[in-house]
Amino acid sequence: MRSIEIDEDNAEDFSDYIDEDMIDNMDRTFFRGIGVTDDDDTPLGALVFELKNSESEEDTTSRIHSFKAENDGAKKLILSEYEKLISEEDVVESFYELADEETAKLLKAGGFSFETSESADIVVGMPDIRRVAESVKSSRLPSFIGDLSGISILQYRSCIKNCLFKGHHGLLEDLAYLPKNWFEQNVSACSLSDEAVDGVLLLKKAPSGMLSVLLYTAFGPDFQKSLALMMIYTARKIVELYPDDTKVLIRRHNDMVRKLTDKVFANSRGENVYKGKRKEG
Amino acid sequence: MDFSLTTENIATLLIDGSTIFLLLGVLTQTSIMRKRGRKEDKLFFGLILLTMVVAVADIVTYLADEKHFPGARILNLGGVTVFYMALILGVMGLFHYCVIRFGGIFDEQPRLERLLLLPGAVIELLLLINLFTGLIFYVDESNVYHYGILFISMFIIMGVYLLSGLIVMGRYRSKNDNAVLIPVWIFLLPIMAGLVVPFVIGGISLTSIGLAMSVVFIHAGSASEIVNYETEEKSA
Amino acid sequence: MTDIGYVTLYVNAIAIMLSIGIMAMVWKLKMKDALEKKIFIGLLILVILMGAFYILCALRDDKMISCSHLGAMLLETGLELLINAYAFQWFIYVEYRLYHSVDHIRRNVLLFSGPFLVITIMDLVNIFTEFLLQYDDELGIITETPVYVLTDVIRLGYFICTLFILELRKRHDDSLKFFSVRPFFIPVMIYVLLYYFTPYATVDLGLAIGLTLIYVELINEKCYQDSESGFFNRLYLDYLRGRITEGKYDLESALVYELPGADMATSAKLILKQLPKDCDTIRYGKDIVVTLTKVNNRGPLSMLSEDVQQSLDEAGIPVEVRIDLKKKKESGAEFLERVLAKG
Repeated sequence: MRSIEIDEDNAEDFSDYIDEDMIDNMDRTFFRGIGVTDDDDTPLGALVFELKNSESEEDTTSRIHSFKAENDGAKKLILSEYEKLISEEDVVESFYELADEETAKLLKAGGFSFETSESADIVVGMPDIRRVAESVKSSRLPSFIGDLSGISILQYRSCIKNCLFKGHHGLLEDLAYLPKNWFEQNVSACSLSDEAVDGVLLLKKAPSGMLSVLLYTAFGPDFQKSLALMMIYTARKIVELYPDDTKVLIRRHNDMVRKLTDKVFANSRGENVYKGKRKEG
Repeated sequence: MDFSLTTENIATLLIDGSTIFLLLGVLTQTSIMRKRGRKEDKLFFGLILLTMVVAVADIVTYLADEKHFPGARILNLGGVTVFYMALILGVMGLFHYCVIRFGGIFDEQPRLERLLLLPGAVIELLLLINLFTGLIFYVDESNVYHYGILFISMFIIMGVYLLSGLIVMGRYRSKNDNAVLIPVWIFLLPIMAGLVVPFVIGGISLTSIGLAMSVVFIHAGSASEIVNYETEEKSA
Repeated sequence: MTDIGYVTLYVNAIAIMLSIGIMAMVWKLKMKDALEKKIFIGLLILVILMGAFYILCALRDDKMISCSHLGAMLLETGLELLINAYAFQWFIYVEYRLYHSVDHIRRNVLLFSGPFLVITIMDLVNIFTEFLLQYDDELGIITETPVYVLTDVIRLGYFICTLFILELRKRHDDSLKFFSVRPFFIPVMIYVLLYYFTPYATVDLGLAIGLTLIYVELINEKCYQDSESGFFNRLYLDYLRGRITEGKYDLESALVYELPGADMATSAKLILKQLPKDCDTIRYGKDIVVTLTKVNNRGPLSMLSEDVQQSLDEAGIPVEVRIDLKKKKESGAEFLERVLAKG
């Protein structure tokens, strides 16, 4: 057996151990993958993790997104390679949040803590999206709300810079490195003021068809209005352009998002997941 | 004892009070400018204080003039003396401000400036002597203020300083394409109006507010001009 | 002329003169935002017009000019409309200075102008109905009815709103640290009180003094500016040093641009276009510019660095950009000195 680094070129080879949505992330700056193959180069397992705060002087942490292996030998090799890699990156803590109990127990055996809890992610279906879309009676929204396809790269970069320098990056550690066309152009909303973008609601469509909300922020003088209107705009666009079985993933990563989702999607609950962490180094 | 306020008293209180109020505000607002450590900022600070002295002296003399309470005549005489001394010093200061800010012949030849300031210094001395001679002005037994034979000389001297300052500004402007100076009339008109109008019409004194406006306009106006790049200098 | 008229004449003549002087200087002042300058000049014009109307009303009251009852009401209404317009324009001025956004004002125009429109309509209706102000032709006196209080309340409301919204906004926006409306408020409040407790029309002089102090405030900001580039200068750096040492400024990173032999004015324009809002850029040396930020992350700094580099490359201006992050155990002051030492 041997371990190899997984990147966007060879990620597909490990499709039995990494789901298609995660494979799509392998070209992103802070995502890393460790694969194990046998002597015939047949994949035996893979672990995907994401580094957080690796470009700042703050403590670097690592989130394990997936971990699956064929046998104990492969699992041990993967975990050992993982420890080497995170040591090189000066990671101080690793954590995970997984739906699969078996993987969670595997990590527990590797020294991680283990607890069950409600996931921070909620999945919202079309009925809820439609309800948001119809929450404003007027068929036309103000002209200063539009989608990403209506703004230039310069306007996009200027907005992203403003977001980042205010410390707003949503779920995207690598927001600074993501091009405009990485996001869904026709459903991601933006708010314009004096020809500059002062608010965005960015979504990405995963290969499985799931839409994920990745950044939702506004900073202009009418930011509250912009936030509400962008949400309605995106909801209307999803209803218009996507099939009825479309789902939207929202991660309640802070209190503000949690309060908003509790208000707008009151009936939505995260599924039960297994969480844990481990100090490194 | 007669303490009643006439219309002129009230107007003077309002106008001189406004001068002091304006200058106090400008003084607190310009503390940042003084951190630059430039000569003209320090001189501006001095000019503001002098103008406030002019305003206070003006109030005192207008309140004391033609009144008969104990010490009214002394207050009147002393107040007018302080008023004119501070005023002339202020006008001299304005001229010197133009020299250090805008350079020119007086900056290149400091002796020339000192020569020109000499008459002003002489007038200051004469104002002190005037307390005993009454040549420039006097206050009679009824505590009424009158002009003396040398009264006009103060205005001539002040006129010379203002004109010299005007010439310095004008020459600077003609030599510097980037000069974004205030229009010259802004600098001159308030102080001229402040000096001439009460002289011609009588009644309310506008001198202090005229001087205050000229001082504020010229300093704020010149501060907004493109200045020499100063990054090489050590900060204060 | 009566004593009251005499004093009113002088006080308002001074207000007019002061405003004309300030207006002439603001006209010549180079400001980044031309619209802000125009709104400020508009305020000065209103003060001048108000002064003229106060004088005309004083002459009317002293029978120095003859006019019919309608003419007298028109004069008074003109003055009232100018005061309303001033309160509203002051509010717009402060809103614009807070956000520099025309769209923001446009989108909220009904909300902002509603009260102003109400009292303006009331003043116009008053010409024929006199339900707010009544003019006695014989005595030359204006009497306010109890309803008139509403106009005062709305005008005062506009002024007080600006005080609160600015104070609230300043907590979150560092770029407003030099903008204060207190230099305006204090003289205006004092002169308004004088107007209420004396027979003299002193409001205009209070407004003129207030605007003069706001103008001086604008000039103060220029003291911190490097006139060639428009960036902040070393005096501002000293000011920031003090704030960093006091813990009021969370300095986390810096970008240093070296522009050997470049035309600073041109380079500055290109750099300024790329800069985000939450950072301070200082011209530290003849060819050295430093951007100080509160973000401790290479990602945004690399993005900014790339954009600046590309923009200057396209203009054929050579630049070297260096990124520095504050270390965990370093204080803001130590980090700043380390960055400047290398520069």
